[in-house]
Amino acid sequence: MEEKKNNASSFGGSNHQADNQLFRKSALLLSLMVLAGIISQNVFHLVGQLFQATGLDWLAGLVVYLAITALFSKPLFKLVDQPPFNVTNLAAIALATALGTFVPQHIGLPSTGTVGKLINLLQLNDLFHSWWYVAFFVLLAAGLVKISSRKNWSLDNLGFHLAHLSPILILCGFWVDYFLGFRGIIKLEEGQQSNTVLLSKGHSGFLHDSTELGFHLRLDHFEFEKYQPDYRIQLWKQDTAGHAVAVSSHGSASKASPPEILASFPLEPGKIHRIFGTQMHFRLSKFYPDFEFDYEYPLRADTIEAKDPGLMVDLKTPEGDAFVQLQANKAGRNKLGDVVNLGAALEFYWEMPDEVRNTLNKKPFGKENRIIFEGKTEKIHFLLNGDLVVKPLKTNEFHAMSDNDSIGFSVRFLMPDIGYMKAVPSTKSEELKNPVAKVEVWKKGGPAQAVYLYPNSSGRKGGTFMVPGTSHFLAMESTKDKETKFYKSDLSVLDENGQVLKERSVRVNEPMQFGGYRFYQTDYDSNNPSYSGIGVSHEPGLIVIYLGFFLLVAGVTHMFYFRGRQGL
Amino acid sequence: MIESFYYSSLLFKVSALAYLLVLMAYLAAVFVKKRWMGKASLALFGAAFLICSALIASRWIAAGRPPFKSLYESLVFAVWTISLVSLVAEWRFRVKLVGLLSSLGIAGILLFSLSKRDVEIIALPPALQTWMFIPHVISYFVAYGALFVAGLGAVLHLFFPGGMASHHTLGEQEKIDFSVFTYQIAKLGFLFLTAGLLLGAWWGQNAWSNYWAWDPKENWALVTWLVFAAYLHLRNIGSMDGRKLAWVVIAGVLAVVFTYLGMDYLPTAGDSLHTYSGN
Repeated sequence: MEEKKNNASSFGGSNHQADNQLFRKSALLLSLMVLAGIISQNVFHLVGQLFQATGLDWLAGLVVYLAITALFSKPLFKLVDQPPFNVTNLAAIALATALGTFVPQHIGLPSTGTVGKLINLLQLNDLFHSWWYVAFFVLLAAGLVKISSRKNWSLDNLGFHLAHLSPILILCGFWVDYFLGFRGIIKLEEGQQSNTVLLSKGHSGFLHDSTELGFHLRLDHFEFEKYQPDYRIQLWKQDTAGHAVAVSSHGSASKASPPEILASFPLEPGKIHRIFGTQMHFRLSKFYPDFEFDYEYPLRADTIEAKDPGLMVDLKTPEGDAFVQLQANKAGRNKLGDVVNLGAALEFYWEMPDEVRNTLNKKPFGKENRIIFEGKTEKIHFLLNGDLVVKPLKTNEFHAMSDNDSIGFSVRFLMPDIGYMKAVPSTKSEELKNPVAKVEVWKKGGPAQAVYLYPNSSGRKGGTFMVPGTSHFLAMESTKDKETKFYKSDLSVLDENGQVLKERSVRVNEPMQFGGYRFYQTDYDSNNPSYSGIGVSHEPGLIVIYLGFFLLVAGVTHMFYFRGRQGL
Repeated sequence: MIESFYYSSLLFKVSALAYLLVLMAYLAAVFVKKRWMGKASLALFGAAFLICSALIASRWIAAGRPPFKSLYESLVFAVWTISLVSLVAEWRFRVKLVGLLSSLGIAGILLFSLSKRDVEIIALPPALQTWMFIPHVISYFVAYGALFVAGLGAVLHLFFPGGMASHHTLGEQEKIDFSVFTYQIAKLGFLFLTAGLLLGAWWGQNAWSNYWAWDPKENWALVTWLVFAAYLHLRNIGSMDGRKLAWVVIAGVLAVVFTYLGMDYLPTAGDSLHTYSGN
C-alpha cells in the first residue's frame, strides 16, 4: 500500500518523453524487421530452389535474412536491452499470435485469388513458423539475456533472473525440438508390429514423411470402452409456434426448430415434478431394466365362455426362445408356418373344423408336419413325418421336437376368451438390456395417465410422450454412454531378433518411454476394434523446457512475494 | 431464463439468490455510509461464497469428477474464484466498492450461466481423466478471478484517479489508490496465469504428445499472458500514466474473456482441442 504509483523502474530510471520516443523507435524497428522477414522468406523460396540440390537452400535464405538484419544491427543493438523495446516486442508477439488465430493455419495452402496470394506472401497461413514471427522471439531472447546480465546477481534478484532467463530455456528447448525432434504416429492392428513412424508436420497434423526406429513396436492387445449407460427421464420442449409462423408467412414449410432439452431427472420412483408454466405433473412409477410383459390368465379357465379363444405357446427354437399367441377365431392369426425352424407348422382351433378332422382320419396323412391344438377337447395332434400322435393339451408341459430337447414348445395358456388375459409389465433381469420407464402424468386435480418411455436404440425409435396441452414431451435416454471411457494399448518393444525389450500398457495421459522416444495412445477407430494409433515423439529439448517452466513459476513467485522491492 | 432457473438445482437457486442479496447489500452500503453496513455486506458475501462452495462440492459428488468440464460448470467456478479473490482483496485493502462491482459481475455471470446450464452431467473423456486437470483449471480460474477483480480496480481508477475517500472504505485509511490495488491483484493473477499456462503445456505433452500445438485457445492464453506481462513491465518502467495503464489492464481482461468464451467465433476454432461441452 505504501508503494508509489509509477515507481522508479527496476531496469533503471526513465522519463515519459524519452520512453515514448523509445516506444516509437521500437515499433518502427520491429515493423522493419517484419518486412525484412517477409522479403527474405520470399527470396528464400525463390532463390532457395536453386540450392535445393545442394541441401543448402536454408543457408541461402538465412544469408538474405542476416544481410537485411545487418542494416538494422546498430539501432537493434542499442535498443534490444531497453525495456520499452522489449515491451513493444511483447505487444508485437501478442498481436501476431492473435492474428494467427484469425487465419486458418495449414501447411502448403495453395495461393488462390488476391487474398490467398497476399496471405502466402506475408506467410500468414503458416504464421507461427514464419521468419518474422520467429524473429520476435529471437529478439526477445536477446533482450532477456542483456537485461538480466545488467542486473546484480544477488539473492534478492534471484527471482528476477530466474523469471527473465527461464523463458530463454523454454525457447531453446522449443527450437531444439523443432530442428532435432519429431512427432508422428505408428498405425497398428492387434498382433501387428512396425518400426515405421508416419511423421506429422506443424500443428495441422499433416503426415508428410516417415522414419524408421531402431526397434519394432508390437500391438499385443487393444481395449476400448464406453461409459455405462445412466438412464434419466428427460423433459424436452419443441416449440412449434415459430414453425407455424414460418409456414404461414412463406407459404411453404420450413424446418421446425430442433427440440430443446429443459431438464433431466434421475430415476427416483415417486418423486413428483411439475412442468414449468403448466398444471401438468409427472412422476416415475417404475423402472424396468430388462422390460418384458408378464401375462396372467384366471386359474379357473373352464368357467369362462369360449368367445375369443386363444393359445399362448412358448417356443424353443434354433433362433432362440420366443412365444406366439394364436387366436382360433381370427383368420390369419390361428396358424403359424414354420418360420422359426421348430420343425412343424402350428394351428389352433377351439373346435376342430370338419375338413381338418377328415384329414386326420384319412391315411396317408401327407408329408407336411403340423401340430394342431384343439381347445375344447384339450388335445394336441402331432402330424409328423407321416404319423399321427395325439397327446393331452396340458399347460407348461414341454414337448421336444428333437432328440436333445433343444427344440420344442410348451403351452403357457389355453384361453377360452383372450379378453381375460392380462399383460403385466415386468423385468426379466436387473441388467440394462431393455430399459423402460413407467411414468404417470396428470393435470392438477385430474386422473393420472400411465405412459411407457424407452430410449432410442439401434434401429428402434425411442418411446416418448407428448404432454397434453403443452409443447413438452418426456423421454428416457442416457448420454453418459456416448462418451468414451478409455482406450488402451498393450505394447511390446522388440529388437531386431524379435526379443521383447519392454512391455507396457499405454493409455491417454500415460505414455511409455523407450530409447529417447515417447509412445502415446493417440487414436482409435470405433469401426475397427483392433486398430490403435500410437503417437510417437522424439523431443530432446523437453527436459530443458520443463526446467524452464519450473524456474519461471519459481522466479515470478520469488520476484513478487519474496523480495523487498516489488519491481520486476 | 426463468424456466432455466426453475429447473436448476436447489443449491444453484440459493446461491443465485444469495449473490443477489449481496449485490443489494453493497448497493445499500454505497448510500448508507456506515461502517457496519460495509461489514454486513462483506459478511453476506462470505456467506454467498460458502453456499457457492457447497454448490460446487455437490456437483463434484453428483458428477463423480471435478466440476469443470462444461461451460456451465466453469462459469459457476468462475463465480467462486471471483468471490474468493474479491473477499481477499476487500479484507486486504478494506474497500467495499470492489465488492459491489464484483457482485454485479457475478450476477451477470450467473444470469449468463442459466442460458448455458447443462441439463445432463457429462462424463470425462480420456484426456481429462488425470490429476493434472484439477491444478490446471484451478490455476486458470484463480487467475481469471484475480484479473477480473484487477480489471474492476482499473475501472475504479479511471473514475477515481486520485483515489477514494475513506467513507467508501471499510478501514481507517484516508484514501485508497486503485492503481496500487490493480497492480497487486494483477500480480497474483499473473502468477496463476503463468502456472496455468505451463501446467497446461505439461498436461498437453502427456495427453496429446504436444506441449504447444498452436491451438487457438493456447495462442490466446499466450496473448493474455503477454498483455499482462506488458502491463507489469509498463507499470514498473514508469513510462505510462495511470489512466493508460488502467486501459491496458482492461484490454487484458477483455483478452481473458475472449480466451474463455470467444474461441467458437474464430475461423480456426475447428482446430481446437479446448472446447467446452454445452458451449
